[in-house]
Amino acid sequence: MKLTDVEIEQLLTVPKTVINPRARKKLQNGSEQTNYDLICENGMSFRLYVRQNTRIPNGFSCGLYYITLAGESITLARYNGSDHAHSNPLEGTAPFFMACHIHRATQRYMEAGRKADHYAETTTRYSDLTGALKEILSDCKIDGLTQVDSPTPPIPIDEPQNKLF
Amino acid sequence: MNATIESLRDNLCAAFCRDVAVVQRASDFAVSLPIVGRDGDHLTAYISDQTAGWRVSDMGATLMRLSYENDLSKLLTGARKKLFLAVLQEAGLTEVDGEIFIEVPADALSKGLFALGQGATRVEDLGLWTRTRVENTFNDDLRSVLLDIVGVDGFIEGYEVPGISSSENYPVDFYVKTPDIPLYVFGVQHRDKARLTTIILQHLSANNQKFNSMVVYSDVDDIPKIDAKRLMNAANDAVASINDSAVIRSKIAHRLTI
Repeated sequence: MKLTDVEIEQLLTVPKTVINPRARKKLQNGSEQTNYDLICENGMSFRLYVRQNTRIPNGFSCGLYYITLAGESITLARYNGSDHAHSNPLEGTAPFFMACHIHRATQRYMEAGRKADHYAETTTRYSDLTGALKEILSDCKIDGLTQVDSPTPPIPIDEPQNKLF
Repeated sequence: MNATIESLRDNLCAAFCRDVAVVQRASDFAVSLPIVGRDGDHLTAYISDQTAGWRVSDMGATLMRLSYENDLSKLLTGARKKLFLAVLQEAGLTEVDGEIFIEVPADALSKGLFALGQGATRVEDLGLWTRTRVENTFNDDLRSVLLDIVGVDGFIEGYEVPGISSSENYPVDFYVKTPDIPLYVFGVQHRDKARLTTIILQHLSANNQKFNSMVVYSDVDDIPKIDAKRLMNAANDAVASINDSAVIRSKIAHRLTI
């Protein structure tokens, strides 16, 4: 399934409501995981996932995907931590290293046969999972999560993030 | 061509190094590698000192990434679990509580980094093996085995048994033509299909149909015992694994010669 940028924008910004705000957080395979089911007024289904790596403080992610009537899922946006680098091959720009970044689904990458949410841009709008979740809730007009997911432990001060080479 | 082996090697090494970043952390080093996942994210390997060597780890990032769009408790079961374990074993990797790692001698750090990179990208591809795709592969395999045994004219796929009520709701996976009583072959790859096959066989029996039946499992160990037991009572014959093609062949040959 392919989406146009207009459709992606509509899906990203249509108001959505969390239908299981008390979803249980589970610890699985070394990460804390919570999945929220969302619907919008016309009945379309979405899912918001929240992940925190238990070994890497800056290894976190929260993402939104759209679930089609056929059960196919397409990630529309993903707000990642700074534990890894990222490349946008169609732009041909140099990879960016160890910076928080936001993935967005794009028509261009889908048409190129790439994963829908391949494209990403760096951001300084958040530095931990709590901040990332706050931003995705706001950007994607997600309502119904009154209690923000438990905050991420801050990066230990004895853990310098200096790049050596 | 002006390049020499040495200059090409030097260029490649320099280019590779440009794409590698190393960050020191409290107890280890984070190494960003030019090994990229399907979503453009690079692999970060975490290396720490071990006795006479290095421990190279993903710190659980690979499986966490896989969990974004998959329920790992369902994804890493059955055939995919076996594939997951095979990938780890082939790359010399170990998985403990989601962390994938390898321990290498002091002079084999790059080997460890590549082993982790190769293993992590192969594990990521498990997300492409959706249940539907796995089922399709299993059905393709079973069809291929039957083709090999009885030929293209020797069976009918998706057979609706004539003369019974609602036959369209009780299709037979493969009707193998035999000289005497028809042989109905069903492929079973999970609990739901085991239950459905039991229902279909019981429906056919209730409609006074004369037939032999054979169930071919993807892997009988993946089926809950209670469901396998019910199906065993309903079917005449069973083959524990699609990999037992010699057993499938001998059982079908036996029916063909009656």
